[in-house]
Amino acid sequence: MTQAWQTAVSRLNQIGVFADEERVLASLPTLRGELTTFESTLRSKGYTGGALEIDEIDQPRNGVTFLIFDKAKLSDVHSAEVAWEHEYHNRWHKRVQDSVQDWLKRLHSLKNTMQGWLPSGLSIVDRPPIPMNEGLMRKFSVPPADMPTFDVQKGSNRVMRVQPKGLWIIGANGRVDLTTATASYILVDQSPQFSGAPDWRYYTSVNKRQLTPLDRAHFVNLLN
Amino acid sequence: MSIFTDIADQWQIADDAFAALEIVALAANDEQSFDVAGEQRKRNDQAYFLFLFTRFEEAVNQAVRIIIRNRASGAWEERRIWDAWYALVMRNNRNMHFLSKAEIISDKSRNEYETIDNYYNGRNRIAHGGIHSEQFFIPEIAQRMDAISTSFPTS
Repeated sequence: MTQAWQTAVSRLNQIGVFADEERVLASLPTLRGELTTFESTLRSKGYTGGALEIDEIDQPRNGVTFLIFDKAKLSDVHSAEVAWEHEYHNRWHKRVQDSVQDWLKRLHSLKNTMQGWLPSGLSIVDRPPIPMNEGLMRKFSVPPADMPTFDVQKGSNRVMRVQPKGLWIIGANGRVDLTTATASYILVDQSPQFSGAPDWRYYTSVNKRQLTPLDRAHFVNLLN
Repeated sequence: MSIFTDIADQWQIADDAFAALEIVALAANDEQSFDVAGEQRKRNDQAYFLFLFTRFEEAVNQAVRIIIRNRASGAWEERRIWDAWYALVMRNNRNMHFLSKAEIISDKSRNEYETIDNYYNGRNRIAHGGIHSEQFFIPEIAQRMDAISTSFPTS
């Protein structure tokens, strides 16, 4: 809740409008009835703008049904809506762009790690990259990217295909499939977004209730 | 064992079958069949996610009915709102927004609500759109649904 207050103050000071996208505030009727108290609280937390207004938007979207705006900066709810939309798109564009870069960085790091784990006689052979153009990227105009994919080979024989499947997976922070001549493993990053420390774990039908952390010993075992 | 883990076990059998197609295609250096099998595997995940979601939605509905029924007692002044809600849930359950029900069973500021919201959005993108790019990691989702629903009231 503290974060919501800070976000509200920051957005109202910067662009003159705040939308409760996380839906943590009270409902519109409640806020409308207590707008003066709400405004006082915001001022005590650093809001420096004019008197606040609250109003519904015509078409609810992105989880938002109403806006709180600074009447000194924005004349009506329609102006507030335009300002919010613009800031929302820019904010999400950056968030998605950062997520894509973070994902590519994790994939390249995974490849380097696997390279370092390879027993002698095995090598990595790059394959044409997999295009990445997920729904959030299209929605927020983030250009497509290329995900690195490669085979682990012994001489000219493929031992494993390492192929990223995507970043925005419900239930994981990215997925990579590992396919060998006899098995297929789902490798997922279980770390929180932007943690800076990937937590790669793989899933097998033998150990259905628990993911296995990917380390050198397990990776070499998967290759055999 | 729960309905969620049961479904995840059944998903496993289907996923193994699609994975086997990938393995065979790769062994034959048939990249096109490998890609097709990968796409089929993804669709299978989507189908099982919807299956899981229907069971989760039922668990939410049941919990909401219990919570509201337990409050709809006592003096009329106290119970009138709950009576009205109970009638709404019992008669027009389908018309009651799923996230409103989620708000009854979980605090909006907690992770559980965010997870439920995330699942609901995923369900909507599959059910209402022509978007086929949604991806799901079924074992984790099944376990999470199981854990969340375990905290629901049963009486």
